[in-house]
Amino acid sequence: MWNGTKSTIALGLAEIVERLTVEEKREFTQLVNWEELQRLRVEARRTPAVRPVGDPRLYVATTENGLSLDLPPEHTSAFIAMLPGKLASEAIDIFVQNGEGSQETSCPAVDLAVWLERHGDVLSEGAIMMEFGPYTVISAGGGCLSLSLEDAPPALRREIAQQALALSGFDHEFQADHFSAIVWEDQLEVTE
Amino acid sequence: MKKNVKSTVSFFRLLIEHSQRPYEPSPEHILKRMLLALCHGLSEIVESGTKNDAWEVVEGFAKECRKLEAE
Repeated sequence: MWNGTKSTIALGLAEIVERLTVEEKREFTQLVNWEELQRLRVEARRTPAVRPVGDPRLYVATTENGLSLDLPPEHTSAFIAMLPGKLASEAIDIFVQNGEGSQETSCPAVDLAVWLERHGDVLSEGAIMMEFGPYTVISAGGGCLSLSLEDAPPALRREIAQQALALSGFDHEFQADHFSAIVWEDQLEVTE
Repeated sequence: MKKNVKSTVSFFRLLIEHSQRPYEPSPEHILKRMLLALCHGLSEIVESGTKNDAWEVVEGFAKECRKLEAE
């Protein structure tokens, strides 16, 4: 946390640097730890003092054991339909729940896209849990999803997250084991 | 674990996940996407589940709480 004195120093330095000639600024860049300053600037941008309020257009992030996602609703079905291929699952157990009760069913992976198409209403507004062998996805409707990938390699999480971005029209190759990506309007902001 | 138990615990975890996001989801999102699903799950267990189902839900919630406290 900045105190008054530090703020004064920082402001004074910034003012002095501003008054330097181009040649003096060039010399100055050789004297300061430019990489550290850049890193601090990025960190400050990524950790605003107050969390923004509202629902982003897109959110994908790693959790302790999987991924937490809020996708554009129109891409939810395509995202779930590609999961059996990524998770090497041949059959899916499905549990649908709403205010009137619950239903259990299962379907072969090859028929999942058709099932999703027939149950678009549940996908958009209902609560669904789908089990792909040891992995589980829950859909809370409106593109709000949580994927449990217990013991899955980090590369698989990255691959699924990248696919989620791609389906939503964004391209990014995650490098780290823990990351988040968010879109408020049309700009993809990634933290790794 | 029964599907309704697992599903109910999963929606509780989803609620925790949202609390850890770098933004604050809207109250409508919390209500529609998590609380209602939790309410439906809990109501079904109270109406047609067993005492063991209810206990497993509480245990599942407590497990998630312990993870949260350990972070």
